[in-house]
Amino acid sequence: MDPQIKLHSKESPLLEDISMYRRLIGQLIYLTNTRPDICFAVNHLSQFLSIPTMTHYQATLRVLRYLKANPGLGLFFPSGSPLQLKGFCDSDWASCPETRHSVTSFCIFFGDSLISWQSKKQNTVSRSSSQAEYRALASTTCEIQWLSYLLHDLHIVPQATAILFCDNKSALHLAANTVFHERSKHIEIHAMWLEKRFVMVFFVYSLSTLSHRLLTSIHTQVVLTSAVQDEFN
Amino acid sequence: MAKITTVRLLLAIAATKNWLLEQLDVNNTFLHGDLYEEVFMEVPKGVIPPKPSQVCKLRKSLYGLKQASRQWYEKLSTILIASGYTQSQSNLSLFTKQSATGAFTVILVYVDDMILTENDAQEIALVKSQLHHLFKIKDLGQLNFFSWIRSC
Repeated sequence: MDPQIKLHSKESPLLEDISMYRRLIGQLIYLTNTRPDICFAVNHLSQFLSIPTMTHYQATLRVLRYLKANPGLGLFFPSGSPLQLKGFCDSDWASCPETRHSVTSFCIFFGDSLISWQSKKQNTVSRSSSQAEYRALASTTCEIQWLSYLLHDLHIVPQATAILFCDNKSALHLAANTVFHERSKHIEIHAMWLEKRFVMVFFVYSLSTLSHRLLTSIHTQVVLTSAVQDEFN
Repeated sequence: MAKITTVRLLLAIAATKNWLLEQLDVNNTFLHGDLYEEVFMEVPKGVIPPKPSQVCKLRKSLYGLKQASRQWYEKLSTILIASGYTQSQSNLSLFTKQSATGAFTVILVYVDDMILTENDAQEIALVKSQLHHLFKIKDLGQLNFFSWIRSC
């Protein structure tokens, strides 16, 4: 998808063959099982399944052209990688032009293997970007917690506590300090998650990583290697 | 249904720990389930009932029934738990077993496809024969295609 384009629900003539669009998106959703690079685009395009227009169809074709140019991309699970969960989360504040909801995205690595990712519209409106980031932190923590339960069931003892990276300082301050102020008390539920401390939260200056790519579109070619997280090791 | 993330996590762990990965497929999956409700069906074409207007009463589950997948899951999980496997509470289609010899077996079920992971090469043949005894399984050998993943 072109990052310059913001898709709306009603802006161009309606598509004649709606079921074809729906089938196409269904197949793309299936493909996101191994292709995190199209996760954002597919998530975005699937929000217009009820009334797809020509613009949406053209954006979908662009995704298909990208896929055709890079058919061999996949996931690489190296042997001998460390036994530790590492998460990167980010959010795009108020990015939906119609509802002004923010988008959460995260990716979680087990050692050097990418195992879990998401790009999803948040279900409430955030009044500030720190709130949006904070919600992203909370949902990433949920996922990490579930993964750590799974690891426990698989008799895997992690070598270190799970790490979660976030690029928003005020969200990190909120996560570190459980004192509530008037502006933050309504996100208490999310805070309760973070308070349980399943993870250590760290600040990174720039999320030039996958998680950021899950928020932005696939304008540039994305090569999925574990090298992207080298800068954090 | 196995959540896809679990499959990826299991593959990542198996790669890290050098566990063996095998794939199994259950023959005629949905015929294994037991049926608790009374279900009748029309006599299939080609079979002539002794009396006209007779119907068939099902004793076991059949493909196309809405309870087919549920009954299969119940059968499989009951049998696996009875043969010493522990069901994970985080993902109900994940079964693990720690044997006395130190071998650790993981079975991840995706409808009738199973991923079998094992840290002991000798134990894996034993587990397979046990499973074959319980259901008729098709041994697909080393994990190659699983649902959507081609592993190489």
